[in-house]
Amino acid sequence: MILPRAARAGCLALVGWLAACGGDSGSSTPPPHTVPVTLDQGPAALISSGTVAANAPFVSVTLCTPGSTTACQTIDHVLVDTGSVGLRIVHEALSGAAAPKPVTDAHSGLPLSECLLFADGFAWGSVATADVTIGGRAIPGLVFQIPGDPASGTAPNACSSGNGPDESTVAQFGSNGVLGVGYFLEDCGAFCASQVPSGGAPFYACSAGGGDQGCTAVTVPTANQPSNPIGQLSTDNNGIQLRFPPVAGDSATTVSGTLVFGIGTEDDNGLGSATLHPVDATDGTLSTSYGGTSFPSSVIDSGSTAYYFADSSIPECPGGGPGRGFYCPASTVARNATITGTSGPGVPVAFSVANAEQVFTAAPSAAAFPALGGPFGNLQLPSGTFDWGMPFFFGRSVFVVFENRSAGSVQGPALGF
Amino acid sequence: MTDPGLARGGGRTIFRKIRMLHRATLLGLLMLAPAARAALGENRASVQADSRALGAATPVVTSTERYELHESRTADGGVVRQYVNAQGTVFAVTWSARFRPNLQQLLGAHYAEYLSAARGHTTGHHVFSVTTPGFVIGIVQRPRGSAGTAHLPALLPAGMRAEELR
Repeated sequence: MILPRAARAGCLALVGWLAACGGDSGSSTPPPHTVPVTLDQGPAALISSGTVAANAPFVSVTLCTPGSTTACQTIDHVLVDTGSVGLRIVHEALSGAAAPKPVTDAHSGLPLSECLLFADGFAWGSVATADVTIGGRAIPGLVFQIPGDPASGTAPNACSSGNGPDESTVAQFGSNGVLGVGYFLEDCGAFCASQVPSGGAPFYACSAGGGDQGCTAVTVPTANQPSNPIGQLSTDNNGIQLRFPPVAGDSATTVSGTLVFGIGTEDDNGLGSATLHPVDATDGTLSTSYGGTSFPSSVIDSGSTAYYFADSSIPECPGGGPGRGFYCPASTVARNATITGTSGPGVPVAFSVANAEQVFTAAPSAAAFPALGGPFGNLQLPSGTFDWGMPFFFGRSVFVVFENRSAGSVQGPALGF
Repeated sequence: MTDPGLARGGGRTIFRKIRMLHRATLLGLLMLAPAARAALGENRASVQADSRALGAATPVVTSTERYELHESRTADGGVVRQYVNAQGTVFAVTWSARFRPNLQQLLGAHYAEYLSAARGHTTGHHVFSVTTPGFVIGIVQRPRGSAGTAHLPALLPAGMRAEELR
């Protein structure tokens, strides 16, 4: 059953969370511009590798062979990521039911592949199109990446050497794919349409087998780059909203939230009490003030597991334990910071950091952790980053206004909360 | 974690061999063999090699009481900074750029430690940090930008704190 818009809006006002308005009842269908988001321990191929997901918001995405409505596959456990742009489905997660169409280089006619860099590695794979459905909305001919696609052949040295390990399996990737819904409309944008970076080029045209012999770094028009799927919609395409309920205590087994397409474009996707903060148009960062220090290149990132920031007063967890890479204060600490856009007033944000080792040990079946923090090697990075990861999203509606689009009178890129 | 002593030893051996070669041959090797170059933990000369290999302009050198700062601009407008201590050894590298510099180039023999830790890293792809007694690295990777800091605590000049690295 689809509730009429007025009824949905009233329900939202009363209850606060769309998911609580019948999305979980099994008897109603969410409106087409909304998608249920679930935090759990991740896809089967991840769990069977001995790793479970933490603070990872997942959606399902359906891929169909271009032009077909029957040659399709629905892929679960695709990470919703405000910290990247574009859809990527790991090849291992594809059943073969849908046949994505390779995108080719206009000059050579050879298929395109992309080298996507992570902080902890890289993902090499083909660039292709498919007819994609997310929630109730279709995106025909969406350009996306298939990390680990054997058709890409071997990665050229410029990609595979000096960029860490290959992360192109589900176990390494941490999910079946990623739905990058960050500020930009394409992953690289105009720069890669006109220039090939001297080192670490993202796009290559490759003949069979790939490698240094077969691959040449190329420019790619923006229309052929993996693009922000929500920006490609014909309506509700000015941005997204992520809504999650608060998580009580230190952990939860599952959390259900909602990804909403569009901002102020439907009766039920307005800003509410949130305010919008413009972000840096070149790299999507804004400023955080914390502990007397300014972190000018801060990000709000649903793809980050924790609040990542430098605070030498909070001890790190022991390297050999389950909390490795996170903070382990003796008892939960409360902290305050201020987030400020490139214009407008700052907004104070209160948050907590719990002892990650104790939290993980106490709840081995949990998937959501609202007070998870982690260090940057106790350093302030050169660009000064405070990474507001997934814990920031619990109990909030967070809005992302895309570049070259606007929400009300505010021009994107902008962040709202 | 890979034994850092082993990794460093291997890098040093290769570097010594390269230094014996003719300069022109050296330049040719630098273009072909990224694994043979090193910066972090290596000597001042490697900074110049790094800059060429990264396609960056010749570094601007600033001297302070405790260290030399070699700052290079990369082709995409980014910056790579390499810190050299009084003994002439690169003890820290930092970068902030649209496109990430080659980490093997910047980290030299310590790249093996990064690689090993990154293989065991399962908590997200946008931030990464490792702190060991001998080697500290933090990386942030955004869709349109990369920033990072790596240093060798044992080689920090006396009285200098890692927080001073920019």
